[in-house]
Amino acid sequence: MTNTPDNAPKSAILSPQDAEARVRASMATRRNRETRFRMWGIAAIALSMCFLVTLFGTIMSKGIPGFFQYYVTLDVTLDRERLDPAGDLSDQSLFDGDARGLVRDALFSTLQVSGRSNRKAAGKLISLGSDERLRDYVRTHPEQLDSEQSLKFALDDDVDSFLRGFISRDTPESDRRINDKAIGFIDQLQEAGLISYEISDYLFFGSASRNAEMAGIKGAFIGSILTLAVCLSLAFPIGIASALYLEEFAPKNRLTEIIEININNLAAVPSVVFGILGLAIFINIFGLPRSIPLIGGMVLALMTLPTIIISSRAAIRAVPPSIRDGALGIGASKMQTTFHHVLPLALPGMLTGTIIGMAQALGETAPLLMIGMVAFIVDIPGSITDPGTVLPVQIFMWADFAERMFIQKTSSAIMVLLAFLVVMNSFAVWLRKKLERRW
Amino acid sequence: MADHIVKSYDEVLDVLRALVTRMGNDIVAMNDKAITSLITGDADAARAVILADKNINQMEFDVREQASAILALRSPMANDLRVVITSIQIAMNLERAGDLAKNIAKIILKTTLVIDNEMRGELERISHLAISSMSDVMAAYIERDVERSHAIREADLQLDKMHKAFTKGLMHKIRENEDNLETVTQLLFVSRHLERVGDHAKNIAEATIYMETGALGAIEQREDRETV
Amino acid sequence: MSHNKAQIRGAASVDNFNGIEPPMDTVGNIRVNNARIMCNNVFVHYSDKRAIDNLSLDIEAQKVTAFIGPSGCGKSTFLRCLNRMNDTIATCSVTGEILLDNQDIYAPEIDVVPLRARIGMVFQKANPFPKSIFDNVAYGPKIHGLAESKSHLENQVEEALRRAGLWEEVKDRLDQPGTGLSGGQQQRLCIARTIAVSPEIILMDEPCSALDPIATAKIEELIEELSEKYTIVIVTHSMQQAARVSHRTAYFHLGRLIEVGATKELFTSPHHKLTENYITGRFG
Repeated sequence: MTNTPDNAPKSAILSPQDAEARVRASMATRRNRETRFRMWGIAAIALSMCFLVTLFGTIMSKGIPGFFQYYVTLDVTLDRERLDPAGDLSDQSLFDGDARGLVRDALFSTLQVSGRSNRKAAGKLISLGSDERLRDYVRTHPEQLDSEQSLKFALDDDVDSFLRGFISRDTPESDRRINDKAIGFIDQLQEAGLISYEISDYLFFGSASRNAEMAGIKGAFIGSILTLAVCLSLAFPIGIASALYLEEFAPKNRLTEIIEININNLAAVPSVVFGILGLAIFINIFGLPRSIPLIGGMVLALMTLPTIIISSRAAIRAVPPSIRDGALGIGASKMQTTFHHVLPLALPGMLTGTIIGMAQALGETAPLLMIGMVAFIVDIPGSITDPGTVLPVQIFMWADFAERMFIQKTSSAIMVLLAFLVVMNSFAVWLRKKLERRW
Repeated sequence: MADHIVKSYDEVLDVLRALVTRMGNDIVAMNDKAITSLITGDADAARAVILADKNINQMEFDVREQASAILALRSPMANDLRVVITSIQIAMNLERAGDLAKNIAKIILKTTLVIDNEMRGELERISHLAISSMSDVMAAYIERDVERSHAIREADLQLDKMHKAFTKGLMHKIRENEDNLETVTQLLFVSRHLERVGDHAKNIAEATIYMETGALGAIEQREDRETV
Repeated sequence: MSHNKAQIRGAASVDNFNGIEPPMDTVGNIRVNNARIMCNNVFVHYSDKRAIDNLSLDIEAQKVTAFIGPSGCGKSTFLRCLNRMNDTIATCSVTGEILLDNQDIYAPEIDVVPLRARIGMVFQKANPFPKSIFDNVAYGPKIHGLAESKSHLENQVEEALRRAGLWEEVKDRLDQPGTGLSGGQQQRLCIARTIAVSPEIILMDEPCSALDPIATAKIEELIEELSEKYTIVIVTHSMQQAARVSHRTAYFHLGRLIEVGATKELFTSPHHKLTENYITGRFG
């Protein structure tokens, strides 16, 4: 113990022994507080994990079946004259041909049905897209004409729903979407082992359709890619150039301040406003056609620019001033310093920001609705000036339809969209790791 | 001069100067005692002086050690550097003055001198001047007084004159009476020793001026100017 | 950065500068016979705060001049004026003349880019580019078009590294990143980078403050060698370093040049009280 005389002035700072005693006394309260805080944290995480699991569980339980479909295998006689009346395998000839009839014939012979009402019932079993499927087969395998081939055709979505168990035999016939006769045929086909449950080639390679079994995301997917391509090619250079200008070259005056404030505010503007802007300016004033990826890309570019500019500016600011000093010190001009030194070092951050912005843009629906990319378009857009739609809008539209299969396909499309986003974000992480340079 | 920010730096410099000061005081006392013992024939006093010289040598080592430490550890600059260097210089001069006192004291232990009143009077005057000039320059060192250091010149000139006169007088004494030879010889030595003490005092004064102003050889320069 | 053309002002200014006595003339010879740079009545302001007050000084050619003084005395600010690095600071304004070959480097028609190739700078913390060692040194010659061919460039890089005393240590790893070297080597790399653009004057802002004693000694040796070819101005916090390395030393205090003189004189017998107080550690 230190020996201090009683009349020595008492120091406010405690002696080590007193302090140690007090610290030890306070440890219990501090630990408790921290433990409680940790518990709250764990509880919060657990709660959010529950929600997350529920969310993904729901999506996947609905979506995974959507990747599969029921098909029926039929032996089809590829009658040349009926399929290709003009004999030249042209689209017009095939269109004029009777592919539909051939398919139906195959079905009827398999089921051994006769009679008009029976045929009518049986005909409804097969998807309306079967004839196009047959025509496609002829186009790709013209050497098989005049032979008999075993081909798979998709079943109608009501049959599909029945086979999955969403339509029960027990409900009274008048309340069901398929009648008893149809059920009988289905049983027949099943007993013959002709019905198979396979990965749907319609989902990925088909485009929009009112028929659930034929509906696919190919058109929307390509539309998304085209729109994003336009968005990227506009937003990236403009965003980076703006960020460089604002950080490196702009004089520090009132005007620059105003620009900065406005850019920061734009990042918070609801995206639908950009859609209205696009509608008013690009479509009404410039007179560009609606519903095309070009406009969609331009609108999304406007929306993503603030994000890119803000993250790029942060990346530029993170470049240490010593690098700039070093470059200026040996006589590099401002331009050379910026482009040879600052930009390469800031690029990883800029790219990360850009990809995150793109991922955001990928999932945008509202502004694209405003500019009309909600139209029902069957043809896959071939260029940025062809009308198209994007994946989130497709999902939005499908969500409206009542058919059971649409519900499943909607969830499948959501899964595809999420996978796309995960891939993009992973790419961002990988890119940043690859380009990061120590200074 | 303001204090150093690091207080211990001031302290080590003070220790150094205190050592030198004490050496100076001891030298003054030693020389005084040596002359007294010579004149009175006091062998004990002479022995005490010889012992004191050992002390002086040790103090000179102490000064050197302290000075080296300061040079190595403190990197003294400007004034501080000059304080350290001059302390070594002055200690060296004082140590020699100590040797001179020792030599004077040794004379008693070797021979007996017959000093008549005339010789005694002159000797006392010379030794008084030599010793007081040493005492003056040490005071100037302590006070850091430049002008007082310059005053040694007068004393030095005076001392030279007195030494020359004394020598001449002693020569006469030999011609008068050959028995005086031994005493006169020794007294000649003593006078020369005292004159040397004066020289050392002048060196110390130069060192003090250098310490204070940075000017080297200031006394000589003033001397040269005045003789021109 | 705003700049007014020179207004020659008298040594005493009207205002009571920072509450201490009004500016007096500098003690010692501010002019030299063989001057490379001549500064006349330089004032530097950061917004309305005065950082350099009426400074006039010559920098002698092919000698090492050291600037010493307590923190905030303006020595680094003044150093950065000599190659117009202060232009990068928006709030900084410089008046007065700084003459290089009798031409004011702050004249409006002067292009700052070639100026900075003639007057190179080495910074307190080594700042090699995040490129290979070769590219670090080659960058300057490339942008200024100093090399006629690839082999010429390689020779220039080798020679610069030799002059900086780094060649032997890095000749086998020129393609490795410059940032992978030790602190002392990085600083020598920065010196090599500066040498590669053939400057006449090299400014050094506390180049050794982040280095250990051995690395410091190597750089001091290098400075001595370089001073045969180049004019060197070094700002340093260490008086011992200034004493070891420079021929001429200038002492700054609160933005004024208090004393300047041959290094040996200034450190053994300084003339101004403030100088003496600073170098003996009597006040900051």
